[in-house]
Amino acid sequence: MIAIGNLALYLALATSLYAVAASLHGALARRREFVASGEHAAYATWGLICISSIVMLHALLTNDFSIKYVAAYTSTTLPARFRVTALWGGMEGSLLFWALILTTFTSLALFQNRHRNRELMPYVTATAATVAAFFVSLLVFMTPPFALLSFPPAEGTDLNPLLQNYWMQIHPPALYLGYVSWTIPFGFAIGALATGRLDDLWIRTSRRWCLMAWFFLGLGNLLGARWAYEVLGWGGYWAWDPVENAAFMPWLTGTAYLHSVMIQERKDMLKVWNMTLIILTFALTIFGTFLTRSGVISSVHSFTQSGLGPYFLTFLAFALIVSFGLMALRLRELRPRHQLDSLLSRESAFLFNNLLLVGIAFATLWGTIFPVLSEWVRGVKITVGPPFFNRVNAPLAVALLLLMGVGPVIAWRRATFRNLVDNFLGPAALGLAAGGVGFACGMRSLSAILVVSFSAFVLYTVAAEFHSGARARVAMVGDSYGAALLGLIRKNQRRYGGYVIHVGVVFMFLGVTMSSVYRVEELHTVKKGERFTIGRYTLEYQDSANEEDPHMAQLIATLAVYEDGEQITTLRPEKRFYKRPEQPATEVDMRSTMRDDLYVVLGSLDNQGVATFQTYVNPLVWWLWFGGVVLVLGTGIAAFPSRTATLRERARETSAIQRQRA
Amino acid sequence: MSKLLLASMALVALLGIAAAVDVRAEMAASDVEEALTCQCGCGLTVRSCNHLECSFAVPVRKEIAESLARGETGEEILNRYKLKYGEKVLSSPIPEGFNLLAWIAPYASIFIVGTLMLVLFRRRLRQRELVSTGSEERDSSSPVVPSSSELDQRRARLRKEVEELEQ
Repeated sequence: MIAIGNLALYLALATSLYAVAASLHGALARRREFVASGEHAAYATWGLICISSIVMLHALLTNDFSIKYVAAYTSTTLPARFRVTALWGGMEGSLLFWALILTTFTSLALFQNRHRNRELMPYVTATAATVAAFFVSLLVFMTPPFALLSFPPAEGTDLNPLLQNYWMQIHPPALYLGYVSWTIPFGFAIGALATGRLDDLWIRTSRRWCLMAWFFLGLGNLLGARWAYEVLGWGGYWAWDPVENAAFMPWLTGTAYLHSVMIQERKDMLKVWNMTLIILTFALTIFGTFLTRSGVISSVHSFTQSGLGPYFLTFLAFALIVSFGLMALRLRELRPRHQLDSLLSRESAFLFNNLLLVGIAFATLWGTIFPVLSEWVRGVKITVGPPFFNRVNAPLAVALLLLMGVGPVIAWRRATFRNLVDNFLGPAALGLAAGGVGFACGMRSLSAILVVSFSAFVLYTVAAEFHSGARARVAMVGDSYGAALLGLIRKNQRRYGGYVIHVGVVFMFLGVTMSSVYRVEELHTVKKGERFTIGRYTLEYQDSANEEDPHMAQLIATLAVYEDGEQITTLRPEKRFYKRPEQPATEVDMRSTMRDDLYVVLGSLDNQGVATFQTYVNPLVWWLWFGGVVLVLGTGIAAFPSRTATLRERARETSAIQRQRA
Repeated sequence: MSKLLLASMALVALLGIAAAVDVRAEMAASDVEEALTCQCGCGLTVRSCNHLECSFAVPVRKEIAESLARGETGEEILNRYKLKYGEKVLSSPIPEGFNLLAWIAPYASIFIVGTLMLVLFRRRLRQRELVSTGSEERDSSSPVVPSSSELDQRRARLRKEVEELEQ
């Protein structure tokens, strides 16, 4: 089996390199048989990586400790579901998993376009196969996943306890899906640059891929935040760790791209900017992989560190030189056909939204790499931690929230004073009222008041968009209001799905701001039967218990939670001790409601029954996760194939072909 | 309008400066804890360290509370830790010397790019006004019929805008 896994990897390297060469030769020499051969080689690469991954999964599930990776990341007592997740628990496995997703997506994109976009496809194949060849070459030459141990141990070291969690089963795959998916739109962009087909064909073709990449990257970040919230036990969910930042930056530039691309589709503007954004987003995904695996910048996410940094940096430089080089050659053709008509227009609102999104991405990148810069320049080690990122990014994020309300309702091309008054009077009044209510309720933090105010502003504008559209449809078609609302969404899923996403983001803003500004935390040491109070909750430490199985030992405390004298729930925070590797871990317990989370961590528990609890009350944090659910719903609406959109797309394709023939 | 946007850009620059300014004399215990990085390897601040029996964060929290009770300011406490552990113990760069770059660069870049966008827009607007003035003068002397390609372009644009309206 191991020999098959290794052989499949060697062959995958050969087929991916052949796919690059054949596709490029086929495109340049206009030889269709080479283009087809290149595509077949890309399919073959996918098949070979599948074989290699199956061999690795089999080894993980059957505890084949003769393989170094299996011995390092599993044990006989590790539950089977975590043996599967061990595939991405270490460097070699995570690179193999990356290659698996990449080659799967490449095959899907090739199959999807087997009769379409034939001019672009050789370059898409070549780009995706180049990235695949890079990752497979790391697996073959630098970090072989099937490396054998001379003396296989009877028991494995086991998976890092922090990774033995439900959220860790889904957070890394979601993040990887997001990272890797950006390769496909990037491939289409390279295809457009190479062929000179610089109209919006590549954008329309790769739109769903972009949306998917953006969605999974966002979801991956959110699931990671949830994991940190439940597992790390510090009452927070985002620590601005370099690896978190690495996944956040491409999401930001990707968000900017998804907005600015609408301007290119409608106004034939911002072609250079959109190319730059897609190249930067792809580059940031590689940079993120570099950060996670290089160990250049210290991070708590040290699960997959190695000495691969220089290879990633070289590949990153290669990708940037080739893509920006191609862009420089096409600069003349990328000139816009239209110009901005007014600074007071939806186009300019989109531009400023882009400026802020890229600004936040730059601030995050700058803060992430600044410790390295400081050490180079001054020879002094410094830390750039959460206070820096919060203080620099918070004002920009608040401004972005405001623009989220402005963008959808300001007129295209040129807004008039009348248009502004008509569209913004209501939302502005509601925003001011919401801020005023917040102040009257005791809110004194400027950022919190602004976020409440702007959130109300955005929600009003979104609701008004739905309402005015539905009302117009009722008048025109004669539907009932509900049917009109559904019809409205069905007719333009992209637009209304986008609005739903905005609502999700508003909820997330509210959750993050309120739980950061108004968090209450207290440390209490109590004996059995004693009570303590935090916020509106009273907690009674009732009992403790020891449990043990071959995998871990658990210390469990039982706390009764009272509100207004009535018991509302029982919480059971744990302290765990994993036997392999010998490592303690906390298991938080919480009561989560729309109003707040009561979050309890068991610190210590002695033989006399005295226990220490770190307790938090996090207001409105529930809305952060609910915002994520709304975001999923909005993305579903925007990306779900609709008959109207398909017909519109076909009409566009037909007219484009007719124009070409004419 | 451009003046308003220029004022917004100036506001962005001011925010950058405000972000770097830290009113340390008014720091509460939690602010001081947040301004220090835990040295246990958790990667979090002293306030957020998730090791409840941490050999660094726990005594430091106690020391901060005692120092503040004695009347020491937040800045004095942070300086003491900086002398003992070096700059790396502070959770954000001190806004002086080379470190100023950390605080200023993000806002400066947004300010520069934003201002460039405004300048470019105004220049192009002026160019377009000049061109349209020239064509108006030409129109008044001898009416020019647009070429067929120009008409095609205009028709295509009109069609696209009607499509957009329909959407």
